[in-house]
Amino acid sequence: MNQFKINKRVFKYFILSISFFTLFSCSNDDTQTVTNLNQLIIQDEFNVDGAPDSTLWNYDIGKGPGNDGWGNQELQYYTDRPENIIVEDGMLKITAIQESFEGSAYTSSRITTKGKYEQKYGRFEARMQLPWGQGMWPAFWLLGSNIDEVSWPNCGEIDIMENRGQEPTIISGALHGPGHSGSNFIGKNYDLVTDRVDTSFHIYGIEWGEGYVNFYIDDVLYNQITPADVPGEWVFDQPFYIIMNVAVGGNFVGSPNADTVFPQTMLIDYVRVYQ
Amino acid sequence: MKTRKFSYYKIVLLIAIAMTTFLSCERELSDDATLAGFSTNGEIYIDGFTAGLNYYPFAGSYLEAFSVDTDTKYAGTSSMRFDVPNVGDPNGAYSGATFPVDSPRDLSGYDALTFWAKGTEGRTINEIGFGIDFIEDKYKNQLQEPLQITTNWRKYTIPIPDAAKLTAESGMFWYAEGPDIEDGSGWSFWIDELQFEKLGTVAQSRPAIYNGEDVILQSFVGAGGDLGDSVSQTFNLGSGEDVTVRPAPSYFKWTSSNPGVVSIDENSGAFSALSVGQAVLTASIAGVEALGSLGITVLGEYNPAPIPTRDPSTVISVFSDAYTNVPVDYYNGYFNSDGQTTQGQNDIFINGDNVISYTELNFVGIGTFLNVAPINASGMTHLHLDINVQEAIDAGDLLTLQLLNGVQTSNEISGSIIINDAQLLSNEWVSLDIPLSSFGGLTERDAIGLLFFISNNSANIPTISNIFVDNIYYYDEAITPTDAPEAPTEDETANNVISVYSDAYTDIGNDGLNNFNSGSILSIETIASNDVLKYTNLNFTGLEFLGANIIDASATTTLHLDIWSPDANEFKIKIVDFGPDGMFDGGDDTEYEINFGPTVTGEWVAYDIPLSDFIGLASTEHLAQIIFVNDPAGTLFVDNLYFYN
Repeated sequence: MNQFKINKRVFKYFILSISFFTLFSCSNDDTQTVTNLNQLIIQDEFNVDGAPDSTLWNYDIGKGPGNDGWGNQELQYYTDRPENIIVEDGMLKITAIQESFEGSAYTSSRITTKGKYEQKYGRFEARMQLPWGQGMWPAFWLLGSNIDEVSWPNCGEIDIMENRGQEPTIISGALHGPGHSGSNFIGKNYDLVTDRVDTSFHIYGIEWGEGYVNFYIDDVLYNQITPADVPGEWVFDQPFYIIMNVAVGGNFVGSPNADTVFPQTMLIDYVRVYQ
Repeated sequence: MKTRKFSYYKIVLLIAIAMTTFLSCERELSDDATLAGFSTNGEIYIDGFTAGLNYYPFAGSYLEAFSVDTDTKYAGTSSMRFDVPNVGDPNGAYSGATFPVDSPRDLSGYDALTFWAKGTEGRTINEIGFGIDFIEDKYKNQLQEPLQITTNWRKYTIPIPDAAKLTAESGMFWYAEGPDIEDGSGWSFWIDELQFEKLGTVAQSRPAIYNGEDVILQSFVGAGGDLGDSVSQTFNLGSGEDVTVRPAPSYFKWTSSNPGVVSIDENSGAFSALSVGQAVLTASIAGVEALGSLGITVLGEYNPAPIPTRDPSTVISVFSDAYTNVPVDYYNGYFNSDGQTTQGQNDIFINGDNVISYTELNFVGIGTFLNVAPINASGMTHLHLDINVQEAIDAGDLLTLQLLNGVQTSNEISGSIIINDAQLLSNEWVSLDIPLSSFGGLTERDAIGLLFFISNNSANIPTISNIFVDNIYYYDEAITPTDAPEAPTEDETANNVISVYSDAYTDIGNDGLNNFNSGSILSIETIASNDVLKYTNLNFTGLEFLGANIIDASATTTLHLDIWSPDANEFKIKIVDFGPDGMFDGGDDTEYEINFGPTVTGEWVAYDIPLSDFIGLASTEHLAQIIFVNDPAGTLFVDNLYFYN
């Protein structure tokens, strides 16, 4: 895997971005690297048609343990049906559908590696093209494997990528933990400005080690979070598992409206983890 | 405000003079230099006119609407200012112009026209876009909806429908905006940093025909149309906002599912029906299929109904392209809860002719009583309609036509007539002219609210399911005599003639020849150089002779009159003698009415009635009223009304 060094040219581009979007004040310098870890330890290239590889992935079914839209008032019912989740054309496709199903107005899918692949530290990345439109909430994220013992947010949550469908140029990466969960998350948005998340594939990743989590998209490292940035306990020194899903509606995005086009599909070309 | 103004008036005049040359130059250029590679400059107005940019105001617009403003600007040194005139401004009714460049540009590397704008108030710019080059406007494009402008500078984006098409575009920018519809006020707005840009975030093209609807149409061989006006295209911008534009049809690739039935021009969207069958017309833009379609069923050769020829002043039209139709609630009320199955209404439009197509007919009503004025057909004599039965006609097939007067009032009445199988033809137009008097029970027709077509027979089973109907109108047959009645032969003196109305004699005075306010209308018509009395809408009327005009007919024996009637109405005459007091009532009035039965129609008939036949009259010395009755109602011509011996 390539290492993406931020060279002078990219840095210049950063300065330009800053003039437009002061939000992205950046402390990177010439020597900063996007990724350092390049020993591939697990990958799913989604090359086998059908359901996702069951040795790696679990389904989360329904509306969440509290039947409350997974704690976020999300509107979808997650299923394992092929219309909501399927591997074909060398990609994993998670499709949100507008349909009446088990009391919900939408269906979609969410898969996790809980109990099948859990990992402390490393470089987690996925190459994805996201859905679009008001109320779409695709995510690629990690949860602490001890969630069942210590519960959320004590287990920690690393959001590698979240997107609001109504903001097709903006992604966000964030950490949630004790003292910084929910709307008090620690994280940052990144605006592609001249590109979108729904018309082309992008690589969304983190590089995570002892005392830091770096967030990147493609060849742009846009945030680093360290224990100094986090109020309360740093809970990111333990194994986490991977989650990928497309939610519909909920606190983060608001509900779809009449202009939202359904169905909407998130395409995942691959998921890879490096050390 | 410090505003520098150019003399655009002069420029316009110059342009007008140079236009012919300009056009021919342009043509030479495009013929010779198609692949020469035009400038890719996307700038139109940053702080001044880009090289070769022109200002061409539209015809009838305020020519000096545009000015360069160095005071108000978003960035740099100046902006474009546009002044929209007030209603009634002698300098122009609206503000509108296009800004083409002398030499075409290659815009294929851009995805949007962008600009910053603000207004003197929060209003809309009615039309705004690019692609008007004054040559063929092939790639004209504009926002579907008027553009909302605020009083603060904001950036606006007009997506390019398919940039690959814009390799040689001259029309950089155009707009049109008029005064406020409500209060007539004008306003001003500014545009700055006007340019084509590659934003990279204009995406999710969703083209549509008919707003994404699948429209169904019936048509005929030889008919054609144009889908160009039906298109739209919605994009999602980087802000997440949807923007819909209305591209010219040339951006689209047009396709017919069955080109042998309906052909369509791949570039223009113009289509024509070639043969019987079905075809679905669709379009795509830059490889994205448009939502929606036009499905056409070609029924056959088009055979129009006969074109009506009646004088429009004698017609009340309900459905005809030959006349101005009265307002109608609907051509199909869809009384489905009452068991109506009939589908269709004014669905067919071919070569400028609208035709009603009813299918699955059992009954259907044309309404004129809900939100429109009911039809006053009192002055009309006939109902006309053209019917073309679109199926085989069997013995026992029938159509009942029913008229309702005073619908949903306490005076609702109806009358109907039956058109039987012998009166109809399969796949051919039949013109029906039905006397309104033959709608039995329709004693009034001053507020007709419904016309029903009923194909159910007496067993309540539909007999005819598919008909075309055209040219539904009421008319006044207005049959008039062409000749004069025979001239009287009695000698005015020798025969003691007392003439009420005749060209042959000196008429006595009267107190009105159309009294009693029954709604009848009297006019004098000259027919064959002879004046006659014409009563229309006549049910009854009174001719009165009062005071000095009272008639002493005691020296005469006979009442003469000539009448001419288009209808076989029942004709009666009553004479009233006011008695010795010469006044109405007073206990001495006597009267008598003679019923002559149905009138002979279409010819002058002379009546010589012995006064002795008015057996109830005590005297003929004080005749004060002659009353004509023409039942139920209609037109009656009267001449040579006189008493003689």
